Amino acid sequence: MMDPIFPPKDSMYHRLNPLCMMLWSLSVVVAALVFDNPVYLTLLFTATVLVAIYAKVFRGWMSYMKYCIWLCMLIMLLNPFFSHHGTHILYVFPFNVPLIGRPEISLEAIAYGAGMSLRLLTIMSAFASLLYTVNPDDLLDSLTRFRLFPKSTYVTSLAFRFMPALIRDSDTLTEVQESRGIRLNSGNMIQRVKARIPVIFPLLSNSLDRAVQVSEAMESRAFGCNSKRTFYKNPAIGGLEYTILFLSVLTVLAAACIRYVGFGSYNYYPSLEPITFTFEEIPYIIVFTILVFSIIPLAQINSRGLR
Amino acid sequence: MKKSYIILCLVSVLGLFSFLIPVFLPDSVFDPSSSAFSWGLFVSTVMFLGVAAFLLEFERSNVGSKEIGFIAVLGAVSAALRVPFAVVPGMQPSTFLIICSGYVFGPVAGFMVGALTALLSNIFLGMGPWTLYQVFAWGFIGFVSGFVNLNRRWKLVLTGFFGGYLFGGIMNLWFWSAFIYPLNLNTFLAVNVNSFWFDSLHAVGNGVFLWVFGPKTIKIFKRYRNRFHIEQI
Repeated sequence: MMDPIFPPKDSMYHRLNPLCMMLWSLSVVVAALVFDNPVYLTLLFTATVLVAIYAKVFRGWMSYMKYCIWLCMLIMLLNPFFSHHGTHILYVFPFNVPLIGRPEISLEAIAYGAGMSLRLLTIMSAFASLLYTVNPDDLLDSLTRFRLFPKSTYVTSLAFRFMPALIRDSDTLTEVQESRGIRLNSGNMIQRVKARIPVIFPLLSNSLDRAVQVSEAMESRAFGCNSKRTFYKNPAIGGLEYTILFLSVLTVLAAACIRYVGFGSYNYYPSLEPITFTFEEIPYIIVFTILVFSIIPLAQINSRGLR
Repeated sequence: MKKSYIILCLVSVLGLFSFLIPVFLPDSVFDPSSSAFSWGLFVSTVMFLGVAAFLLEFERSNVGSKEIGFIAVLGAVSAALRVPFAVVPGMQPSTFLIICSGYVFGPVAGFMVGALTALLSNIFLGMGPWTLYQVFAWGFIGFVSGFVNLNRRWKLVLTGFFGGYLFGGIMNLWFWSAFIYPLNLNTFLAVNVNSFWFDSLHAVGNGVFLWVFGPKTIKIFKRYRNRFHIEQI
């Protein structure tokens, strides 16, 4: 059912338990939020790119990342307008803007925008690596087993399974109405909305009928009668996968620890700090790098069956 | 109104205000310019806890297979309708469905439909840090719709109109707190002014959708709700 959207691929990351990729991606997202220093953010971003390359999903990853290019440009454009805290002024506009005064473009504001864009790219890249290596259906299935928000996870899983059927229904209904001569994409906003009446109401009624059928099927299988659910598939989780999960948690703790001892931050204002590392910081960076990149060799070993 | 709903509303409002700490308490310990504090992580945690509070309410509620089926389908329809309209700014049919769901099936179901809309549609449109905020924003609109009596067409249109600005306001909070420096009242207002055009389009779009589809959609939803409603005498 999901094949057209999530084509099945085979790589060492696809063979991992979905929870491993989820926890690793989350650890990258949290670490990206913890650090301001561009060096740490670049390390995290590189790790996500390498995972996308080794997982053979780089093309999909690229198509996903293009979504945030516009947002990055917006961040880099807006920051110089809002911030008057930089000391290296590159240009002063000859007019005043209400609320923000006379805009000044400073080197620091551009760098701040670039730094925030790098953070956004890292977070997006972590999400993209997760989405292209794990089928959301499998991920939701794994989460249901943990019984953390079981009803919510089940509803999400059920809704996700409805999606392709609904998109197909919506396409069919649109084609049917267009073949009857109804113009869906002409006229003003209200005319366009009104033209969709013969698409939306049959889609709604169909879907609600489908909901009734699913509910009856669930009830006939005694849904909710037994607090402990059983599952059709029981994917095994090996020692190396537990190690990846453990190291992902350790990555978050290491990031918090590094920030606590005073490293990993960076001040863009009032003027850009030089990026230097003290002798005490280097061991922290090495340990953090090992933790973030450890998923690559571990997934390789796991895929060879050396559990 | 149930006591837990009041607590949820309070938590949501307090959570949203915690974003505004830099505006009201610029030199406090939460000041994002202090290098010892990760503001981005703090606000994301607040938002995550807000969403978790609503999810816990859903877990606690006495929902059966029928309600689960309806919520799943409505969330999927709402998400599926968002995908083809994503390229047209302001034309988001999802919000009208979320408002109707919240009104007919109750606040918790409304929240879940809103949350599912953001979560599912972003799998196709792009998952990112904004997803958590969209989950909260749409969920909150669905939740609030459960408390409003939308028995007149103008009330529906008004709710949709304000819903558009509420959604935009919450998303602006995210953009402002995550990417703008310095965090003060001027930059907060400037970000809102900057997105005013898009938020207005969303608000007007909601109003149009609710004016055209609202009453009939509510009629269909009520028919299905009553079909499976059991009253013990």
